[in-house]
Amino acid sequence: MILANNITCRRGSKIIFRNLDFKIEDGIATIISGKNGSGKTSLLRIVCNLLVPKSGEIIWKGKSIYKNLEEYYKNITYIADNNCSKDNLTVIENMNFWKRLYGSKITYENFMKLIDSLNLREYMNQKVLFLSYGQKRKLELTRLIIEERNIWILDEPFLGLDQDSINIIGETISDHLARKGMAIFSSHIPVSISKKQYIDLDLHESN
Amino acid sequence: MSQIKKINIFILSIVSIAIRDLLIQYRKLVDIVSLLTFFIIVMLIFIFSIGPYDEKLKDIGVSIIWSILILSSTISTNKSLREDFDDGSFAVYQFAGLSYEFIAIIKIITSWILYQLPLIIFIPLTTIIFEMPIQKIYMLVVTMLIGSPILTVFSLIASAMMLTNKKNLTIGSLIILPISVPVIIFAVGAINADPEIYKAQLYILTSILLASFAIGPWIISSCIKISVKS
Amino acid sequence: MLQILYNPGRFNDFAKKYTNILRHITIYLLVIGLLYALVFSPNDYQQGFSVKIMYIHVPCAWLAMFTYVLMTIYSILALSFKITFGYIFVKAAAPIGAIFTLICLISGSIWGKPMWGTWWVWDARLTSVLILFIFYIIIIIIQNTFDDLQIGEKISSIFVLLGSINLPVIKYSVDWWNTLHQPASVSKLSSPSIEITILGPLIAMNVAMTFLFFLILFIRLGAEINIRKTLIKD
Repeated sequence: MILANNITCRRGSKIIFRNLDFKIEDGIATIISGKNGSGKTSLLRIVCNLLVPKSGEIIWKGKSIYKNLEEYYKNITYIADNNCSKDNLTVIENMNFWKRLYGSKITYENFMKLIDSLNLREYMNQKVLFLSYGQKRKLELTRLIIEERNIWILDEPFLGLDQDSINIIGETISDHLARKGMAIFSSHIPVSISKKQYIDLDLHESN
Repeated sequence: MSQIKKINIFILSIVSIAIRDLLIQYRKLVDIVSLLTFFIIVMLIFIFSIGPYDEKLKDIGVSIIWSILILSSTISTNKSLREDFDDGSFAVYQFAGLSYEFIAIIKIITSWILYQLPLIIFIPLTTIIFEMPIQKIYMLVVTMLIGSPILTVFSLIASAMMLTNKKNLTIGSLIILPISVPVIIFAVGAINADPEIYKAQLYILTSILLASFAIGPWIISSCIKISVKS
Repeated sequence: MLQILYNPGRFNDFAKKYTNILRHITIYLLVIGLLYALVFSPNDYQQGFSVKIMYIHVPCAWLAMFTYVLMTIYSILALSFKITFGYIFVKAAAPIGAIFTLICLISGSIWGKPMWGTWWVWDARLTSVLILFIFYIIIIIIQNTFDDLQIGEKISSIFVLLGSINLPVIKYSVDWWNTLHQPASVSKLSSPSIEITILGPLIAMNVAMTFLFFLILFIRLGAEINIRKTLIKD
């Protein structure tokens, strides 16, 4: 369980949101909603310590994450709003790189199953350069499975995906939650996840 | 046992970053070829501006080659750091449990292999143009082997400083040039010095190398941290 | 009391109170120093009237380095102890240091023309001071490049630390290398190698210019703190 305690975020000279408290529980998806510029990305970056909040802290396993950063990092998968797959490598090379980077124990069959389920098999040996936006996004989302982490932090994961893929990712997240995992993501697109809670940033807007 | 396993995973992830960077650049060999072409063309421009006087060129050939080495380290002000920053790869490395210091060390090694090693292999061939004695060519290669990693560290420092700056691209090279002044002084000094005293200059150059290895990764990583956490 | 050295609010109160007094003292000292140096001190036996360039050249050279030393100290404070005043200081002090370095270089070359016969020689001290000037310029450029104020000031502070390697080179260049520039003659207090008639006005000018530096610094720091206040409300 992750607790966010009294978080205030400032970008430039403007306070985006003020005194935000929320709880990310095991097995329940936390969905952040809000207008453009309401601080969805900033909030996600604060949760994974890529942005330092003006005040407040994130508490994980009863301790502030700043006191236990290395351990905390080893439990996170963060998928940003842009894709980190390299254009000049093929799909399979990118996935292999992530596998080796994270020291993942994923088996070859699971690997292939993953590729099949996202309809990427025929593009397996294509350079990422030639993939469409949605396919690049799907490739990025394979990191969820490859990295085998407990806390999933996703920034607009469904943007540019077709309905089938959205369903598959939704199921993946549901499975993960059923295994007592945590997931927090921002999204405008409704997903079929049974256990979910919302954080509406528009309510916390400061002016 | 689990300790050994952890170390194995750590080494594997470091090596995988290095191999991937080399592979990406290998698929875009044009970059390295353009670096070499830049080298030849600037050398020709020096020769045209000085005039084809053999004696003169023999004297200042070493200085020209070292100046161009520094200039070419500014144009290769590293793209791989910028690319990794733009697509958010640094966060991925961070959550893989790698500290930015280690990433900086990997980047120093890979970008030395990519952007300096081709020049070191290539430059002794071009010295034919200047008709240098074999002793000087030997010294040139030695000073380049010691000096070029320093330039790599400096160019990575500059590119790490300029990660969030997308408007004014000349500042990266502005940062490299003044801090690489001592490198060129002692490198060219060692080549041109008398055989008895050249060792002192080489030792100073080596000490600069060791110092830059000691503080370079630290500066690079703190600059990356500043840029990522904004 | 020590807080005025690193707390912007305390410093601002202090500066408001004492800037006016400082301004009066500075003008007074400058008038005395200039009169003493230009009118009442004797011409040199060899150099004639041109020795009086020294009374501008030496204080500027001293201040060029003193500013950089202060900037280095404040960069360390800012980067390691997260003291925002350090960044403000670096931003306020860099242009002053650049101007003093430029005056030092120009007055030096005007002095050098009748003495050494050239405007410029590539000896160690002149070159290292020129590089100091380039460092100042690059620091100012970096501060004004970034869209994000905080990144710009952090990066420029790191660059200040990188450039501080240059300081000992400037200081000891005349001792390490055998150069045209004369070695330091003022600092040997036990047996000063210059006459008291020259040393007197030199010290007077040094003190006056140092006060001038602090006056400009106070005004710029106050302005910089006010800019911050309007930029970052709350």
